[in-house]
Amino acid sequence: MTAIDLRQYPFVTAALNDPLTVKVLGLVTPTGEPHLAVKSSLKMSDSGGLKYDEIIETSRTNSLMLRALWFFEKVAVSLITTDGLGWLLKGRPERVVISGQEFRRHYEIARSNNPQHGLGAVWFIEIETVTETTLEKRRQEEEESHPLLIHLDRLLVNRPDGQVVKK
Amino acid sequence: MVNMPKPKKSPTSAPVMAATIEPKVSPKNSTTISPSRAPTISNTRAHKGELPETQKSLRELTELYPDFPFKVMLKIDVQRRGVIYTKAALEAVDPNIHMTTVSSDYYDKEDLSPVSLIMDDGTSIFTEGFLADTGLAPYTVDFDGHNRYLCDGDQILAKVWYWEKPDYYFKKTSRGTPMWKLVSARPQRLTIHPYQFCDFWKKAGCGCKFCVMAANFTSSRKEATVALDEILETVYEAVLEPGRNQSIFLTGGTIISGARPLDDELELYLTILKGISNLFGGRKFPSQLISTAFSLDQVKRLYYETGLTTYTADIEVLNQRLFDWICPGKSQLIGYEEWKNRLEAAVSVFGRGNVNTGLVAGVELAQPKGFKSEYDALEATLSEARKLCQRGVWVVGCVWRILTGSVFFRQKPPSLEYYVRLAKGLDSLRREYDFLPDQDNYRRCGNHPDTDLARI
Ligand code: SF4
Repeated sequence: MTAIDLRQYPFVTAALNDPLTVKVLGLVTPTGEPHLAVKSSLKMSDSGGLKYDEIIETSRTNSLMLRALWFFEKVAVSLITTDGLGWLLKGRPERVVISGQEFRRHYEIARSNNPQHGLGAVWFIEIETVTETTLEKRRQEEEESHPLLIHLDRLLVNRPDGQVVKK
Repeated sequence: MVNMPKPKKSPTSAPVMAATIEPKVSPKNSTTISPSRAPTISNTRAHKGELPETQKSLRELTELYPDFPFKVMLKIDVQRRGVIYTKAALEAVDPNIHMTTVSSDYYDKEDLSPVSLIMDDGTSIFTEGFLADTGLAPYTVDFDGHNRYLCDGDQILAKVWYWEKPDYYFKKTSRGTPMWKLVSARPQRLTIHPYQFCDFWKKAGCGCKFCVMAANFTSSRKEATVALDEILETVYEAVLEPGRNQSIFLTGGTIISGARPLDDELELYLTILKGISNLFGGRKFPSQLISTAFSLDQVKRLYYETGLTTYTADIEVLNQRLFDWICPGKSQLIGYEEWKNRLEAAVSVFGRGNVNTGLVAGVELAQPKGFKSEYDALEATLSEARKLCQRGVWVVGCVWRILTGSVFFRQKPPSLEYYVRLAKGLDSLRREYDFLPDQDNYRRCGNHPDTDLARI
């Protein structure tokens, strides 16, 4: 599947640029267990994919990312903004940078953000699908495409005596 | 087979690599790398130096060992078969960014070809050195104007990057010596070679048969020892670079002399390690020494008088008879059983997990005295490695690169499958006996396929 350039998605770009957006990376272990990690450092890469700093070299996340890269598995990123917009991005690890000038730039930022921190790796993710998960949008979509899926109490209008039901 | 030629000595020359070939890969006709599927591998092209029929190809092995990472398998095969750079790939080298010069323990590489490669997963591939003609066709590194690719014939197998140069590299010491000549670099490690010769080569027939120290040292006209003050200046300058180095590594040839055998070698390392320890306030610091197998008293001095944290004495081959044949100097000075005893003794000082030993994996199949079957070689090596693990010593393997100038230059390399199974076996032992790979992990050394596997 071809990589998507996230620069074509202004809302996703805005969500990634907003430090208050909750950014969650989702992976699956070899035994099928889910693994989630909040990655506040997730940003858009120069090529329109994603990148993030992995502080903990020996973390489960780092190991699972490498496994995904080695064995061509998918990863997912969920973004939830403070105003309730949501996005689900799916793709694959594209590269991990552990040395050189690019690594150094990220290392210096990580150290200036928190002097207790070092840096294990910089991960790059190529995105293949983008889905909006904003609750209000999803609700409207379901209402339109599955009109029968609704609890009847929400449809009730009149009492048996003809008076209007108060809601 | 075309091998990387010995580099010319002129540092001022334009990019030099006699074995250049015209690019076979262009953006138009290339197989593109798509991360959404496994690389396409073909071994159908019959080219000179094709694999013997009994050896399985990279493609066949990726199917046979689906849980073995393709990138690590590729790394092994590149090291077995060697690599050449196209003209375009060489023109894509920027000496201000990429590492082209390196000082090893026996020669200085000064041409403008890349020192080595790194892949998208952070795996390093060491391409430096002069492979002998083993009959296997080398891989090619090509450049399409945007990216550098590792190719086998006309098939693109992986994107690669050239190692980047550290900040200190072209600086000079107060005495005017270029710092890269004193301390060499890997992507995350500093390497110091205090003694750039080996006393085993002073006596006929005593050098290790896979080693090229004597052949290259003599032609390189390097000084045998390097000056301490200049090493310290360089290490200090190198460590200043943020995020560059995770470990300091020392190694060199054997020095037999001293009040007791090897005391002079010990003193050399003690002096340098004490100097470096001072840079870290006298504290322990991430470091590794690969030396001749020191006695318990000698190892204690290393641990208690310096900041050294991990210790390695390479046994090279895990078989008494082959050790005696392949490493006669080590055999006569210390002996196979005593070498292992000394490793175990070092564990009592440095602690479990901080002592390992390295193999030039594959030399156990050198003929005429080596194992006749890969099956037997693998069984014997892993069973001996298990015994070492039980004694607290873990084992790492390097791919035996059959080098011009070594006694073994006419030998044939083991199959790729042998290395795949050995790497799996050593990794499994490390996990079973619960050793951390940190001492020799992928980003410190990067030359051990088995510790590449330890990453997941
Ligand atoms: S000990 Fe053996 S491998 Fe090491 S430098 Fe001496 S001869 Fe070479």
